[in-house]
Amino acid sequence: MAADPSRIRNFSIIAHIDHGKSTLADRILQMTSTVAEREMKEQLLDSMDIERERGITIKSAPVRVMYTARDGLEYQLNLIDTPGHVDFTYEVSRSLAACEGALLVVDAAQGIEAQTLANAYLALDNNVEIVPIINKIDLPAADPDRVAKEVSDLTGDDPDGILRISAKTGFGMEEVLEAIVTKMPAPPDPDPEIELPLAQRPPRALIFDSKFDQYRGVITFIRMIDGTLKKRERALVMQAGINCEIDEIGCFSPEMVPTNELGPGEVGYIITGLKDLADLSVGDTVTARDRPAAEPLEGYEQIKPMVFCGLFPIEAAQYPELRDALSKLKLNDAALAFEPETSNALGFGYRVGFLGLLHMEIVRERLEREYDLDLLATPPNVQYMIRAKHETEYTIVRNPVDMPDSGAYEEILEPIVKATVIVPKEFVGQVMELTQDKRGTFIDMQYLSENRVQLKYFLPLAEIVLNFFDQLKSRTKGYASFDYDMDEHQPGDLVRLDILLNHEKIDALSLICHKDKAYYQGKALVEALRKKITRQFFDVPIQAAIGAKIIARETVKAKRKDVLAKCYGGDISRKRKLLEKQKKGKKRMKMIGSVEIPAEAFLSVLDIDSADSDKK
Amino acid sequence: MITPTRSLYVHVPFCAHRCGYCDFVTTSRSPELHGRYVAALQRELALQGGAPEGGFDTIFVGGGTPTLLEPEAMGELLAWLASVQAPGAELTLECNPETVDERLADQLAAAGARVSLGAQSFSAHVLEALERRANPETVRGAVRQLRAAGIERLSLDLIWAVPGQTDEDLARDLEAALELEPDHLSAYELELKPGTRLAHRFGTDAATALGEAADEHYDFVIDRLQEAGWWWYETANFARDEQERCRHNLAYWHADTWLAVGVGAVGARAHADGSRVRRANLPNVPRWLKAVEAGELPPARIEEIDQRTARLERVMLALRLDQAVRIEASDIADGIVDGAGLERVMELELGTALPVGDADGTLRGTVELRLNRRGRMLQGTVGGLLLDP
Repeated sequence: MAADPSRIRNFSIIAHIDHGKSTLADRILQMTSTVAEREMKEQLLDSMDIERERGITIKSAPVRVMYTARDGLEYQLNLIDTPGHVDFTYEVSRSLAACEGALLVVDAAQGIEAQTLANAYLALDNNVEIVPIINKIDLPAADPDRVAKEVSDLTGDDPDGILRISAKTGFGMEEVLEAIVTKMPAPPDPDPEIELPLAQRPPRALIFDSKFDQYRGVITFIRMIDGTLKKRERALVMQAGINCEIDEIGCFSPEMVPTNELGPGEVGYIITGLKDLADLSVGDTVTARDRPAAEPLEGYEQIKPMVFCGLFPIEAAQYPELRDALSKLKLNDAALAFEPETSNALGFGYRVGFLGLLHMEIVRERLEREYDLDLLATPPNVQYMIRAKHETEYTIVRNPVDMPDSGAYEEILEPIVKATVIVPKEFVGQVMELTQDKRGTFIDMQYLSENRVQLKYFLPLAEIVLNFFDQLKSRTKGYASFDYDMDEHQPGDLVRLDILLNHEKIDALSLICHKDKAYYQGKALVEALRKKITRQFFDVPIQAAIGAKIIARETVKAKRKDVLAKCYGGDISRKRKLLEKQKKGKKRMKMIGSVEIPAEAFLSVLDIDSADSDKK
Repeated sequence: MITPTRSLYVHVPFCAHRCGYCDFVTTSRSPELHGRYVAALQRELALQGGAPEGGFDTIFVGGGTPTLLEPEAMGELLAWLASVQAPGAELTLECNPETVDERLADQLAAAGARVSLGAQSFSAHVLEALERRANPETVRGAVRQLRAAGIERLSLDLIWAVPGQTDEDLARDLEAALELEPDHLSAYELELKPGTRLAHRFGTDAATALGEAADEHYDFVIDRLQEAGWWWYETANFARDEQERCRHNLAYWHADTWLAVGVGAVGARAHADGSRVRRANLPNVPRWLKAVEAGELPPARIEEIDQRTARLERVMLALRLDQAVRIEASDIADGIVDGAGLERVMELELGTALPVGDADGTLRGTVELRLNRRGRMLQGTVGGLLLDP
C-alpha cells in the first residue's frame, strides 16, 4: 500500500562544499534509525571511493527515512543527496526537480559562499521551498548572527527564525526534522482539475537519475508524480517509446528494498531488464502500458559538456579497453560525451567532453583506477565557433588542432561565463588583478556583509579551465569561493600556438590562446616542457610557433651517462629494484617519433599559469 | 649444479666517525669490542658452514674502516684469514689513509694483502665537502708508507660529481692519483643516498642538478685514464693490467656466489636449481654479537632470488664489464632479455651483438653483446631496454 502523499516530504540538501551537507545527511539517517549504529560510517551516502577520499558527493543518492513527528504522525521523508561542486550543477538541478523542499546548509563561520548562492538560485528556479540552516555553530569561529543576516538577505527568512544547529554534535537536529515536515510542502497534485484520486490516475514517474549495476543492469531512480507503478507491470518509457517490464520496484533505505508498488509522491527505483542506459534517459517519463498517461512530464534540459580534452592510452593496445571503459562510465554519467580522435603524435584516443575541470579529473581518475588504464590527457580546452572567410556559417572546434591558421578565418567566437566570486574585502584587489590577467570584464561588486564582497565578471571559459580556481585560491589564501554560469559566445583575438619537438609538430600540445599572451605562453610552455622531458640520447629542441613563426626555443641536452657508479655484493638487489622501478616509470612514457615523453608533460600548460601566479 | 663458493666478504663496521656520504654500517664503539668482534666473525663463518675445502680464493675485508681495528685484533683477523684462504688467494682490505702507520703497514704487508685506500680526492675542499678527515698529504703519506712496507697491490678510490668539485679539481685528482702509481683505481660518482648527511645537506636531487656536469666528469675520468694506458674493465673500476683487476669484485659481477660475515654483510648462496638465496645480516652490532656468541646465526633479511631473477641479474651485472655479455637463446625465449630491446640497443648504436654457434645470422639464438663506450656509459638505458624484471 503506497503512502498518503500528505505524509511524504521529498527534499534535497544543498550547500557550498564543506559546509556539512554529508554530515547532516548522516545525522538524519542516524536519528531516524534508518541505519544501525554499527553500520554508521561517515559520508554514508557517498559510495564511490573517490567521493570518500575527496570528501565530495558526485552522484545523487536518494534514501527514504521514516520519521514520527511531534504531531504524532509518521512521515516518509525522501532525502536526495546532491553534489556541491559547480561542475555538477546538473545533478543538483535534476535532484531538485524531484523535490518540494531543500535544506540550504550554510557554515556558521564562513557564511554564504558562491555555491550557496548558485544552489539557492537553482532551488528557486525549480520552485522548491528553501529551509535555510546555519550549521557548525559549535565552531569557535562561528558567527551565526552575521550569517543569519546574510542568509536572510538571500532567502527572505526572518534572521531570528533561521535554524542554528551543529550536525556534528547533533544539536538542533530535532528541529531540522520538524522543519522538513512543517515547512516543506507535501507532493502537490499536478492537476487538481482532475477528480480521479491521485493514486488511481495513469502513472507518471520522472526519471531523475540512474546507475548501471553489472549484475542487475540499469537501476533507474524515479519520482512518482501521479498514479501508481507496480511490480511486474508492463511499462512504457514515454519519450524513448520503449516498452519494458518492471522486474523490481522499491525504495532506498539506504540499500535497495523491494516493495510492491510506488504511489504518488514517492521516490524509489525500478529495474526493468533494460541494459542500455540510453533507453532510460534522465528526464524521461515512465508510465504503465495498460493505462498510459496522455502526456509525458516536462523533462530536463540536455546537459552540454563545456570542457574538452583528448584521452589517449599510453599503451596503444589499450584503446579498445578505453572505449569500453568510457561507455561504461557513460552509463552512470549522462554528462560525459566522447568521440574518437586520432592524433599524429598520440595515435588513437578519444576527445572527451566534460562539465568542468573537476568532472574531468574525476573521470580520468576513475578510468585509471576502476578500469586499470594508463592514460595520457591533453590540456583541457573549450569549444570555439569559427567562421571562415567569405562564409556565413560557423564551424564548431573542440580541438585546437582543428583551428585553421590565423588569416584563414574571419571570426572566432569563444565561450564566456558569468562568474561570481565571494571574498573577504581585503582580497578584492587580488581578485581584480587575477581576473584582469584572465581577460575578465567587471560587471559589479556588492557587499554581502561588512567584510564580505561579491564580485561579478564576464570571463572567457578558456581562462577558467586552466586552473583559474587554483590561482584564485592561492591569491586569496583559500578564502575565495567561485561559481559560474554559461553566458554567450563572443569574438576573441585568438591564435593557435603550436609546439614542435625535435622539429616535429606535436598536435596534442597545440593550444589556443589570446594573441597578446601568445608570446609569454609559448616561452613559458617550452620552458616547462624542457623541465618535464627526460634527457634522451640526442639533443631535443623544443619550439613554440605561431603559424610558421618560431617564437620560443629550448633544448633538452642529450644524456651521455645513466649509470650508478657502485655495484658490489650488497648493492645487487638494490640495482635490480632500480631497474624494475625504471621499467615501471617507462609505462608512463609515450614515444613520439624518437622522443620519449612523460605523460605529465602534456599537461605542462597547466604549470605555466601557476608559475605565473607564484611570481606575483 | 652448484659451483662451490670461493669468495668471502668480511665486514668490519668500526669507524672513527661517519662520513657524510656513507650509508654503510658504521659505529663508533670502543676498542674493547674489537677483539670480541673478530672472534665472532670466525664463529659466524663456522655457523655458515666454514671455509670450502682448500680455502677461499678471494677475501675482501670492507667497512666501516677495517684498519681502525686495534693492532691486536687486526693481528687476529689476519691470522684467521690466512687460515681460511687458498694458496695464491687474493686478500683485500679497505683502508683509510689516516689509519695508516708503520705497524699497520707491516701487518698488512706480512699478510700479503692487497690494499684498497680510500683517497676520494686530493682537493682539500672536496674532502671537506665529503666530511673526510684526511687531507691530501695524509693520502700521499699513506701510499708511501704502504709501498715502503712492501704492499704490492694498491688500489685508490676516487669520487667525482661532488657538489662544488670543478673540472679542474677532478683533473688535479686524477693527476695526483696517477702520480702515486697505484695498480688499480676505482672512480665513483657520488651517490647521495637518502638518509646520509650529504643527501640531507645537498638534497638527493643534487645529482640531477649536476646533470650535464656529471656527464662531463665521467667522460673526463675515462678519457684521462685510458689515455694513461689503464683498462676500464668495469663501470667504475680501472686496472693497470689484467692481473690487477680485483678478483673478489669480479666474482660479484660474474654472478658467482660468496659467503659474507659480519654486521650488515650480504652474501649469496646458490641452490641446485639455479635459484639463489641472498642473506643480509641486519645492521645492528649488539644483536649480531649476541646471536653469534650464543652460537646462532645472526638476525638477517633473507631474500629468495628465483631462477628467472638470478638469470636476469647475471646479465644485469655482466653489462658492467668490458667484455662480451653472453645472452643465451633461452634468455630471449623466456623473456628475460627482450629481443626487440636488443635490436633497439644496436639501433641506438650502444653496442653490437653477434650470433654465437649455429648462427643463422639472426639474433634469435645465443648472442654475444658487446657494449661500446656510449653503451657502457648509458648502462641504465641498456639495462632498461634489454631486461624485463
